[in-house]
Amino acid sequence: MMKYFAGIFLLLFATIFLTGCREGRNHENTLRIAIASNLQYAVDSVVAGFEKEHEIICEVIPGSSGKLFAQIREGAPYDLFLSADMDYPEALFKEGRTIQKPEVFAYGALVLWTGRQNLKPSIEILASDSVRYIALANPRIAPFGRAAQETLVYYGMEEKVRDKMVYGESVAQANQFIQSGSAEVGFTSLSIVMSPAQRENGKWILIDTAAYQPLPHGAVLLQTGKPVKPAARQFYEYLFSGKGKEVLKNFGYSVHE
Amino acid sequence: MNWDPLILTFELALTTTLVLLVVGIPLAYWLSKTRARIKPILETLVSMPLVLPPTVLGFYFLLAFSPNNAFGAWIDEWLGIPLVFSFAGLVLASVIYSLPFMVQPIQAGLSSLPPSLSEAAATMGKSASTQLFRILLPNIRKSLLTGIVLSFAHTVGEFGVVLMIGGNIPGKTRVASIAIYDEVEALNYAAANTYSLILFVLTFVLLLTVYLVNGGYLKRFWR
Repeated sequence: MMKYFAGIFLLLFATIFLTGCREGRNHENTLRIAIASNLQYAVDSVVAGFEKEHEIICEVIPGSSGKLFAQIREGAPYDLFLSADMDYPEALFKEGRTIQKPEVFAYGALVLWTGRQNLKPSIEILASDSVRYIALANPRIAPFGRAAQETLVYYGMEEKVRDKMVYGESVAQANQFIQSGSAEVGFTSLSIVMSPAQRENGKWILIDTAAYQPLPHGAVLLQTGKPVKPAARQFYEYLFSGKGKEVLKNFGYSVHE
Repeated sequence: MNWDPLILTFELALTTTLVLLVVGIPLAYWLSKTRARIKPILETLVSMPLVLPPTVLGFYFLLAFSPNNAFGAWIDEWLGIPLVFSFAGLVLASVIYSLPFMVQPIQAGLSSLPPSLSEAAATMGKSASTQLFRILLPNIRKSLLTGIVLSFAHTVGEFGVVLMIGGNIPGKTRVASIAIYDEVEALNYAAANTYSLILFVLTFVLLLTVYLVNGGYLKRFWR
């Protein structure tokens, strides 16, 4: 019996000890940055540059803008939010969950991408028999999914390809469907196909910007219930600085000069 | 209120359970009788879906089912059904995912029967299949019911695997668990709540039935 209690005690002790350690990591110079999935590669690059200059560790949490928005509304402990649109950050601002008004730090661009060697991406090909599945991000929660849908409507393809569409929960999952070859083609962000990791993979074409509403990307500092970390402000400034903009441009985003 | 995701969920669970019955009974029977060397390995493989994160299964299914792969391409050509983003693919994935829930109860039930039962039948010249279907299975009705209901319920509760290989296609792969996730993310809490509540009540009733029947509370009706 004594052994049993000793065991329980040890287990409890270990749990407390371990959770203590995890909490300890989240101090002043650790940042949690929630980002829209399309920003994944670009922000990794921005973060690398930023971390080199400052003694700050950045934890990046990718997801669809809508999902991150919902999580932030329910009190997710993120310091910054980089969304693929302005609506979500604006809504958070109106609810008083942000430090200031969100600002546009970049404009995204939509591309049609294929991982298949024998396929030449084009809008027309979407209706052909050689394409069985078209991957896009869920238009209800992902701005790039919305843009993809607008594009299909713009070219009058919506009806023709209705049964071919498969939805990723974010651009990242759409990428995964395209990359694994499960879907022949799909819509994604220019920043994905321009990233060093994906540059050599497959073929893509840029979608005419007339076909969809612009994709302004908004950044905002979030209320965390504690005073804003100086590191969060530093990162925010870095993002809008020449160095930040340079990286974003390399990934195909347009920025205000 | 869109009922499609719920209907799809129950279609998937029903199909999966039926396939599992056909696959699971012989497998459980064989496992309960065999002394083969590979038995522990097979038992381990059958149990793995209990422990593995569904994302591991989903990830490998996505790779295996992709038409870029030999297996996926072969299935695609041979049967004419792609396994990614299709109901057929979800069924296959669910069968593997829920396999232990069918096999383990039946195997345990069969192992608990005294060997004299089938020995007696054998001396009277009954074939192995007659023994199984006329003597052994009727004696483990409770285990069978447990296996059927747990497989069904577990498939209803499937999420990670479907998320990885489904593609969220309405009416084809958008099952209730995915629809709930979707509605929550779209901040449509009312719809998410409706789906969730229906699943909550249905699974409660399902499992309660098993416990009532197997606990002997319904003896009067169960004869």
